[in-house]
Amino acid sequence: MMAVAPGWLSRRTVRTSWPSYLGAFVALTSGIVLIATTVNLIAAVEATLTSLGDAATQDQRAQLDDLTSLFGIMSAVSMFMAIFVVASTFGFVVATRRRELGLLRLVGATGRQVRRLVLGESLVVALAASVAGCLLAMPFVAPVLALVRRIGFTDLRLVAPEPWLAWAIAVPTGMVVALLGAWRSSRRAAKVSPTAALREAAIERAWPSMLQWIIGTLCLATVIGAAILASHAPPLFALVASILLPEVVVIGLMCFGPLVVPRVARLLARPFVRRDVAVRIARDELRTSVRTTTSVAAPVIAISAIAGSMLLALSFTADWTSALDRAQLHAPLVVRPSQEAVAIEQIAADPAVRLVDARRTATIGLGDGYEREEVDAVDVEVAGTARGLRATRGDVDDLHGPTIAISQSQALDLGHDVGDRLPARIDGKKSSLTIVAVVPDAPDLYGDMLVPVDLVAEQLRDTPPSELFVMLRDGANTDDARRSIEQVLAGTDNQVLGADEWIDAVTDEVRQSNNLGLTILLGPAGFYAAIAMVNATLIGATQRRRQHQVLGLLGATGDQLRRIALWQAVLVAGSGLLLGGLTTLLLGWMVRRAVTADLSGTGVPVPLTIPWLPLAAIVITSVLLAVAAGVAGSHGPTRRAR
Amino acid sequence: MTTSTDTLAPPAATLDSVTRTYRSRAGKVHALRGITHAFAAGTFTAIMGPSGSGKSTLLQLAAGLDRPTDGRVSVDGTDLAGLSDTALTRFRRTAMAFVFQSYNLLDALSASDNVALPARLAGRSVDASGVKEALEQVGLRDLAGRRPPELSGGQQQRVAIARALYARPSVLFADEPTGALDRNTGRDVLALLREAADGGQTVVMVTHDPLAASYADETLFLADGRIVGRLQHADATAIAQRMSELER
Repeated sequence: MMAVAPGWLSRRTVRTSWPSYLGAFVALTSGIVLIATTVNLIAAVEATLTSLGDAATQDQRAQLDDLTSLFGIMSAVSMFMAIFVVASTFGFVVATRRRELGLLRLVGATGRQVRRLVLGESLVVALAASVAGCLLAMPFVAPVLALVRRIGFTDLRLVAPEPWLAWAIAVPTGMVVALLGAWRSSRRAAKVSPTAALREAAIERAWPSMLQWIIGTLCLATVIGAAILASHAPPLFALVASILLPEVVVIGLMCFGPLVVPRVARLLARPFVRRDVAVRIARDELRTSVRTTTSVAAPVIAISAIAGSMLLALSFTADWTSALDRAQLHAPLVVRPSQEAVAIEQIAADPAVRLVDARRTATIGLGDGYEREEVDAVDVEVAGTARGLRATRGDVDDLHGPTIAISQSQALDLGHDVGDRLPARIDGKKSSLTIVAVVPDAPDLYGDMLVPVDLVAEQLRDTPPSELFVMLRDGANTDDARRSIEQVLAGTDNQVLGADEWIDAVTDEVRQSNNLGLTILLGPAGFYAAIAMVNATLIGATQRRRQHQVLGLLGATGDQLRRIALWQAVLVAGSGLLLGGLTTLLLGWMVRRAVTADLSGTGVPVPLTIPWLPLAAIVITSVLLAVAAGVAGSHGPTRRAR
Repeated sequence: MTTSTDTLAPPAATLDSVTRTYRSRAGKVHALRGITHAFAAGTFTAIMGPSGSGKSTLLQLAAGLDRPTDGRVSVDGTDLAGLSDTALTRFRRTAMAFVFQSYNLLDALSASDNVALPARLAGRSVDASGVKEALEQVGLRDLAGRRPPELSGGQQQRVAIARALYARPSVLFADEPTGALDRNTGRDVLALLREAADGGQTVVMVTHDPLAASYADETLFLADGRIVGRLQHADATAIAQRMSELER
């Protein structure tokens, strides 16, 4: 019997409550498009691999592997944004209906009935949004795949996958998330007092619930604990932490959001309050409608914290690797060979040259599943002289025969140590390699795994070196030697670079590739954050329309009303950026500390490169979007008030 | 302690030493200070008093919309303090009905659906002829299909009264029901409340209008959270005179 009323009511009330649900619909539809698109990208990689079959070259496989990991992280970030935004939007849409729900309680609806009504309405909206999202995502597949190729992340033509998989993942995710968001706020709605209907306006509750206190405190404690631990951990651990922790910070911040965001906005408004009454009204409205304020700030906090932390962490990691290169590279000259065979003997024959250390890689099957891994083939003596190859544990001099050396990061990652044996398949033959040394990380000088040259000699015959590290005899002049080698290599595309020049060039390439990666990683989530922010600003503006009409009646000019809306948008976006910025600062500091601690004994100064341009781009884009949405949102009330 | 009793009929609602105190930044606010009163069944009581005297608080406590800081409230012999939130809601929707100054109708529902809503929420089958009858009683039979935004203020208030009449609750609480209406429409609404009381329902109405209070059997005067006087079957002039004495 009890179930009759809410279903009957949901169908009727959604007729009038749809404008407030429109925002939730937009948030969920674009969230479904986002999730479906990222799933399509991962599926496209699989489909491409299947279509290539055995004909796939090693390079193609490597490209597809890279794309899978890239799209995997991209999906995770996008999924987090979608979940976060959809849940918060559904939550605050319900909060806007406080008076109506109070009225239902007044005429006899139990808390449970109100809850079922809200869930029923949300279900209707979520179903509609899921269908719309799936249909909208379909035409996106081809252009997005073309875009990935155009950006230059792959030269493969990715095959468009069947849409079913994307639908099968995006729809349940979207529905569950929307209903979870609605469920949370429906619990709150069920507690709405019947007297809420008797009040025209209510000050929204800013105090977090017990659950929010617990989750928020846990999240923030985890982050602070991890930040302290990670600053003593290897830099790669700090890097991984800096990718995962922003999400935890954002969840923690949002638990305390209604308490924190309006206070930050108030702080930002303080210098302007006395100068313009619009700022004062904007500030007071933000403080009164804490849920709207928090929901508008949510996507800004999330994207600025995640993108900012990743930008800073990757930049500091590039600083770290370039410092590692400098700390270890002894060779004063580096030759970057072209595709043609390089005349190593001719360079070695130069009287100023003591030795030439060629960096070569081979592919072997490693581990229980004999997964194909790229390994560096090194001549320990030569690499020790030119590239400073040394062991932190074990002894690199033992790297002869069926042995392998691994980097510190690899040892940490796989949990292996000196003395362990790894099953291997080299050129079709099975063997077992003993780990004889753990070596410091130096990603540009050698990879995570090193084997002796003689172990993969067959493969090396056909593999040109990627770099030649040239050591000079004592007393030889570097500039003269460089000119002499350049003469030897004249007429070829081989490049001769000084050690510092080479490190700068490599670091530049790393930064470029990082930027490209970040564009793909954060592009969809950033785009979604933009939609979410504009959407939430517009919902907020609709909510305040009545109050702004009253302000208009009381004598506020159209210009004043527009300024109020603008200030609200700027204050909320500013608060979001400030909180996101603080998160970035904390996690950036964590990576930086780990990097400087790692290099503390080497005496090599670690450069500090802050990616100002992309960071400024995030700030400027957020503020511009907020202003644009604020202006658009203020259009209605100012016109009507006049 | 302020005490007021009526022994003519068994009470439909009683307040026993009811106190309501709010905490605010400025300190404690005593909205009601130990009120004891019984609303006799089938009577129409008006509650008057200056702003801030505790009229609306008294109404909300009597209706179980708010809980007293101290004291007991019972309706139809049921002690409201012993009921859980859900049980109280269930009890309220069968035993009480409300009419407020802001009509409190759901915009999404037609007039007849608004009237039937409490019954539907209670899981009872809706008797269409009963709904029509209730709307007819308030003169809105022809407008049953209209939604609140399509009705005038007076018409909306009459829908709210029809909603209260349809369920035939024992107590009907009204808070400034004529506050937003013109004099003529207000009189129609008061006549409907009077009819409800004559039909055996108990009506408790908060008002600041002596003319509205003159429709009641008894008028209670509140000041500073206490009952400070009462008049039986008084006319508007006598009530206005008592009010102006209070406000002096």
